[in-house]
Amino acid sequence: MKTLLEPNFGLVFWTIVNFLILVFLLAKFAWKPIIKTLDEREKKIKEDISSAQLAREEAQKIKQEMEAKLEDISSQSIQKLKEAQAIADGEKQKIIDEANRQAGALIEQAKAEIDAQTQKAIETLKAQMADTTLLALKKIITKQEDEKTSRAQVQEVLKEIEEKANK
Amino acid sequence: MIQEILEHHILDHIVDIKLFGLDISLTQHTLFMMGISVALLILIPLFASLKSGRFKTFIEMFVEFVQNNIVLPNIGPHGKKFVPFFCTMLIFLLFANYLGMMPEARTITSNISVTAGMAIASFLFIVFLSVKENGFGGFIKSFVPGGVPIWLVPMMFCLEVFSLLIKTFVLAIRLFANMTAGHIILLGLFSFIFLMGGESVLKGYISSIPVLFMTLFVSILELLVAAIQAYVFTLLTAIFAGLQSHAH
Repeated sequence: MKTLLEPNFGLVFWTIVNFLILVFLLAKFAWKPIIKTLDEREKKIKEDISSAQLAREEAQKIKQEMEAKLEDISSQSIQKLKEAQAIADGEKQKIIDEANRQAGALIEQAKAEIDAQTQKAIETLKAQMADTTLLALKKIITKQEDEKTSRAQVQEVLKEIEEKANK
Repeated sequence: MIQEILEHHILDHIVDIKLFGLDISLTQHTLFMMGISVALLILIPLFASLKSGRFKTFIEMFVEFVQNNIVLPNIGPHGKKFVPFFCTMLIFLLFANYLGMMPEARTITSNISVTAGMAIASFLFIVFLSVKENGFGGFIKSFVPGGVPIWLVPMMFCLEVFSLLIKTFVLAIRLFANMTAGHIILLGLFSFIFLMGGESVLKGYISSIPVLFMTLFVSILELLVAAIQAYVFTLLTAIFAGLQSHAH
């Protein structure tokens, strides 16, 4: 059992030499390339994360801009609608006023025409009545005494008729 | 018998070599250790050179594990350049522990000389890291805790140096003892069959059934111990190196 616990210098020596050579060779041909790959991958992942973060921030910014623009467009369209409404109201009022004015003018014209026609009818009526009356009176007068008297009577009658007509 | 079997593996000199009068002969364990190293030198760079696949993923996960669980928490961010040292230590010990469990293979980590060699390599690394981080003066100062009265300094210095030596010595003993214990238990259990068989053949056959299950249990336990001890050895080296380089 003593041999088991007794270090053998040769084996200790070879273990150290072997291990140190192994460390050197594996570090050169295996571990360093792997560590380099891992570092590159980690760096790439970090870059990807940061670029994704940037893209996300950019998208957020664009979204905010779009929302602001949309709001702006919305308020502008409301403004335009109001303006259009105001213009339409003005136009409508103009048209109504014009129509009213034209209607008024037409009414006035019609009234004037009616008055003129009425006047004309009255004149015609007067003339016809005078003629008729005169004719009637002529027939009456022939049956009565004096022509002058009869004329005066005719004139009086005519005057009365005219007054009545004017009333 | 157990002693003979265990000693057989250690004392088998294959090539006798002398260096300045010291015996550095190649034994079965030396050759097996070199075989493991050659296998690692072929396999690990091969896995590393793969573009993708299970082995590539495994080796990357292994490096990430060593880096994030052993090196960085104990040595700090500046210890990243020492990740290859710890990766080599862990994979070498894992291979040594597991390959030793194969039939006809040699468990080199159940040899105190191999674990001592590994512990000396750990000690050299701890000293190297501390000197590199703090300079030689800083390394010497790290053995004296701050605020110690001047008359206590020599004693504290001796205690701290002794503490570092003990720590690394215990590294060697822990790995050796854990790996040897499993083998001794297995050999003891198998010997039980022969002891019973010596009394009568029937007893030998009957005793072989529980012994079989017990050896199976111990073997599974050894599988676990092999991984745990490789990890513990590497982790403790990192902890000691970190403590020594960041002392006070």
